[in-house]
Amino acid sequence: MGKKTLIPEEKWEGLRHAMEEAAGTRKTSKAPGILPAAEGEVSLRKGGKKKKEKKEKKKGKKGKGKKKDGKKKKKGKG
Amino acid sequence: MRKITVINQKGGTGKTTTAINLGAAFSEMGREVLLVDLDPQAGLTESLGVETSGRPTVAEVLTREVEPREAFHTLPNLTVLPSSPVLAETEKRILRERPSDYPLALKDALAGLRGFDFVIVDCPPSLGALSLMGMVYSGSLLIPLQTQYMALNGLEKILGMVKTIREAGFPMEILGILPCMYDVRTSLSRQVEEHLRDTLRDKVFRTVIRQSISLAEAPARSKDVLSYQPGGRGAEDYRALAQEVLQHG
Repeated sequence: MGKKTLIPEEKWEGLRHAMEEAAGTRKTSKAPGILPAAEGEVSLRKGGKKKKEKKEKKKGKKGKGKKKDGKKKKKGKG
Repeated sequence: MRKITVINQKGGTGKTTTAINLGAAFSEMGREVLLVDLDPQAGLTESLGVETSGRPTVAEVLTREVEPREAFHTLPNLTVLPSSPVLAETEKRILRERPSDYPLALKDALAGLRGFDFVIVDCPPSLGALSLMGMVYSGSLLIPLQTQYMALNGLEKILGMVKTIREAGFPMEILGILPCMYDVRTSLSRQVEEHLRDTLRDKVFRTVIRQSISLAEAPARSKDVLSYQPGGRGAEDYRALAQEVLQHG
């Protein structure tokens, strides 16, 4: 009689892959935007900063009113 | 100074027991050891009988309100940076104040630390901000694992997080997976251990922490197991683990 296996083989295969990826011995497609850099210069939450920057940019554009003016002029021409 | 973070998001896997008793085993070998309790449940702090009322803890160290040494408690064989439930609020505060670099909070707070051969960090049973701080601080992870089926699911999650952190640019190594609460009488324990070694090979410690009543009793006496029952199975296993970690380099 064969040995009774309590844990399915797929479970171990998944673990093997996870360990290879964690140890960096398995090549995987990297998540875009997360680049290896010097310690202390990288954070896992870059999103917060980017959102802030985008908001500020938008505010700046609205304040100048360039787009609105431009659109009006175009309308006038047409 | 060697830094080790003991982590597993599952509760009751032997994290605190391992942090304390590995530290005690290093101390028995003549090494200076600092234990950092990074769990708001303060299990390590309480297990060693450290009283924190009215005194600073790791929470105040993380927010830089006090210098680390002001919060240290010195025991005969170990130095403890204790925790308290206040740490749960501190975690939220750090996330608010340092949204972009909170993982570096512990590393920054302990940056000037000198005088210890080993710093062992005990993480909470979650993969939240505090655990991330602990992982980034040491870059070297010791993962205690119960030799049971459900524990394997948790292990996959931790490994996934390690990958993410590494890809974010933080150096991170898995020092080893430590089979804990090993019951030689059950075929499940034997099978999990056997397969773990077949699958993850040198990432699994040769040492196995066997089930032992002394490991459960020691905290009730506010002691590590090496002080509580020096000749017992628990003490023997943690001495073996300390030797193995030293050999690992």
